[in-house]
Amino acid sequence: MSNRKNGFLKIADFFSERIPFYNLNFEHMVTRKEVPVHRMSWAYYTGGLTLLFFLIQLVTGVFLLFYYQPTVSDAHASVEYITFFVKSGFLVRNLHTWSSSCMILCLLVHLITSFAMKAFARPREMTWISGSLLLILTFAFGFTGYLLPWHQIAVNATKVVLQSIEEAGHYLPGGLAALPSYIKEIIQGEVSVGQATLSRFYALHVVILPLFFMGVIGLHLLMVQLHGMSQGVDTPSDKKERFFPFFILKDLWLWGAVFLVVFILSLCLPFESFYSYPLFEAYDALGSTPEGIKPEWYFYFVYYPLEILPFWVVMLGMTVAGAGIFFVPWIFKNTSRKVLSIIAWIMAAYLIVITLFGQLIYEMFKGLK
Amino acid sequence: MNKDSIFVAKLSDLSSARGKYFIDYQMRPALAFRDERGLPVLISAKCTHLGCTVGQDLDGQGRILCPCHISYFDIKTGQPTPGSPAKSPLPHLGWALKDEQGNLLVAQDPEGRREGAVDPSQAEKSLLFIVKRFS
Repeated sequence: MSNRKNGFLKIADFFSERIPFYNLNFEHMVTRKEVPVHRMSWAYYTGGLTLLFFLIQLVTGVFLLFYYQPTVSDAHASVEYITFFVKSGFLVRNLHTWSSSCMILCLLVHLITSFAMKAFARPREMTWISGSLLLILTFAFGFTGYLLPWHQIAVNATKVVLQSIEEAGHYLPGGLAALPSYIKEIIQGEVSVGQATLSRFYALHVVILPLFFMGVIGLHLLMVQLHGMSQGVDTPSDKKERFFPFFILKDLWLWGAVFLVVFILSLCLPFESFYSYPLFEAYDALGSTPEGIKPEWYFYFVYYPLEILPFWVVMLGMTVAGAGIFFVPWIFKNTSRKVLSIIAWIMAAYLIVITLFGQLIYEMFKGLK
Repeated sequence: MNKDSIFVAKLSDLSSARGKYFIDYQMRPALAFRDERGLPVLISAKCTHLGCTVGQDLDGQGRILCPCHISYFDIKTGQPTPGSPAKSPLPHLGWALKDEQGNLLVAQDPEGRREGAVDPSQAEKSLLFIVKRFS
């Protein structure tokens, strides 16, 4: 009996340490909160920036909803209508596309710096797990939103990704082999990418994912506020900055500056100008897939390896990495910040090289064959 | 068989160099060509690698190209060129030719078994259909 009592107490202790509700008061979370000052202090702004871009997505997304038509016959035309005929429609749409890329960029920087700073260490495991969930949700936003304009690149790239899911079935044993095909059918909703797929992606992109995201981000921010800032370096100096009003003012100042830059970019440079135009013609079911079909840049880290390496190697690697990210607080429990920094640098170098030079590397490999 | 068929094209409108896209019974894209004897060649246009729609133009060696990951397919055999990312062949589709009154002239199942015959003068005026079921 006493053993059981101890067990329950242990569970209670575990949660009261991870979710310290006793800190849920204005004094702890605002007036007395401090932010450590050291060479990595800039990293404390990356999460806030990601939030800023999410807020931009939320507002511009609602504006786009006023005009967007989620049907295969009208989707493309409605996006063109927004771009060319709705007052400032092009600006709202450009803000939405630019900000989506910026959000993913900030999120990746936030992930890598939090990893290097060991911000996931006890008792902040919940903060890390909720953050990892936000990462996956953000990629899901990117994937589902990509289909909505219903142009050539959108539909064909979605077809390729969904077919890749089915492909995974070839590597699974026995009864499991049919599973990826079922998953694909559930997502696709019909025999080919069509209206059912568009309706599903639309519902996911504008209702289901945002609801989930807001819940998880609420939890994430609550955890950050309950625990306070992680120290971030091995030997913290005594130098600290008051969260309110100093850090928050700097944070807002940065938000203003970054918003100005994204606003000017959206005003002058459509994100789509990086691609050749035919890809943005309305999807033609009776036509070849146009050349140059690629996913958005933030999927290059998995797209180019898929082009170069055997399918199963990449799928296995991504599955392990995708599941492993949730266990980071336990896998790297006893790893020093120095080693974590080295791993973080390797991750960053991989992401930068594959994103910037993926095409070059792919052509090199193709040439060697 | 007469009942369950979908019109694809007039046979005389098909070309041996450039395929005509159509959608098959499974809602998948397919291409219709005409071979050197003037008979139809119907082949799936859904790449067996990752499902892109292959191009409609034949190259000098009688192949069509999937532009997504550069797989070439021989339209006679359906087989991908060695070294292509696609490993399995594009399947052929069965077809039926009917005269303008809707009478069946000749039909060929997906395995290439043919029933009936057509003379060249009839063929020029005939209409090409895909057939749901071959019995």
